[in-house]
Amino acid sequence: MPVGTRPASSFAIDLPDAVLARARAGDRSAFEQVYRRFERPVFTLALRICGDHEEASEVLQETMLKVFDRIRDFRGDSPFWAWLRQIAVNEALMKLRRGRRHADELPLEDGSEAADDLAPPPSAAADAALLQRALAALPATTRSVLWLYHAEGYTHEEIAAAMNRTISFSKSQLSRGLRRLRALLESGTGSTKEPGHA
Amino acid sequence: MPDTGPRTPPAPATWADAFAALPLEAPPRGGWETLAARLGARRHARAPLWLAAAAVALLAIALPWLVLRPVEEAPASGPEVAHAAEDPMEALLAESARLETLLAAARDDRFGSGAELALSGEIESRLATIDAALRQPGLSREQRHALWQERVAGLRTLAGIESSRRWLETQGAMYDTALVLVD
Repeated sequence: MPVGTRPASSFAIDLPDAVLARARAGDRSAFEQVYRRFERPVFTLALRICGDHEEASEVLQETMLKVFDRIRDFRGDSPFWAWLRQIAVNEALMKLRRGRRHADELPLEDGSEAADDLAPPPSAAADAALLQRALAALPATTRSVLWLYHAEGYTHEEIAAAMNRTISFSKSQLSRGLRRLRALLESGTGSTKEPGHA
Repeated sequence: MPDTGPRTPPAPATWADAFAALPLEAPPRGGWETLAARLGARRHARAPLWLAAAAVALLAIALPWLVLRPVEEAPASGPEVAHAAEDPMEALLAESARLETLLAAARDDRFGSGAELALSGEIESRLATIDAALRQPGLSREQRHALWQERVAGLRTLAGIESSRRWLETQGAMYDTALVLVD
């Protein structure tokens, strides 16, 4: 992703200082305000990574429990939403690992990648239902890389660190994933699969 | 005259635009109520330090095969672990993944005594701290190895707690009762 063009994350919600202060003091109604503001971004992120509604619900619960357990440790070095998002990403990736789906990724290729990474998506990407089906048809780990990079604005370094993988792994999954996503959208079905992969 | 026909949304200029245009997904109803109940249970279940220490002592006595086995002696079996056995770091990663799978399969969050929840929560917080440390750039191999060792040790303790709870259940006992007996 070119420098300076990070997308606006759906997590980028300003939390009033007063609500944050009350939540840090253990105020239950402030907790609920935090939950209500962030439940959809957390659930959406978890669904994109895990690909399963039940698992995404569990990630939402565990994320919020950890947020409230550790909210006194939030030092304000970064926006509150970014701090919360990092917890959500960690929880979702942990869920993915527990499900033994790190193998659920596109195989690496021999270098000739990234040729069309910067090309605009096909016009079919404007069809939300089709795009969602195509994303759902990708292997979970590949989809996670795409989502973290293009929807959340993570760098390859950040993705590699979050997944305990290499930067080249992140780059390769992004390139192959975009190619697959483009093919799925252009086929118009959102469900084309390469042989031998989920 | 205005065009009243169906409009095709404009093609997104970038993948980021395409993803950002997707609607947010709605979680199932009742999520906050479930969370509030769990928060309430945790608040009442916070155990003092002596109780956590007693729990660790119980685990050390009852489950030495889980708690006291040196981290470096992780069993290696099967072709996929053969390579891991050659590299201590790979062995730790494999052991970590195995324990996480075991915990995911064995856990039942619907049940649990106060002491168990409190102790598990403390260990999970420690694991999260370790995970955060592992994400820091510029760690040496020795530092990463030490952190992964600590992570595996924490997961083993969690597995020990879960195993202990399951065993106590078969005896018709509760975790808290066992803690009192130890103390």
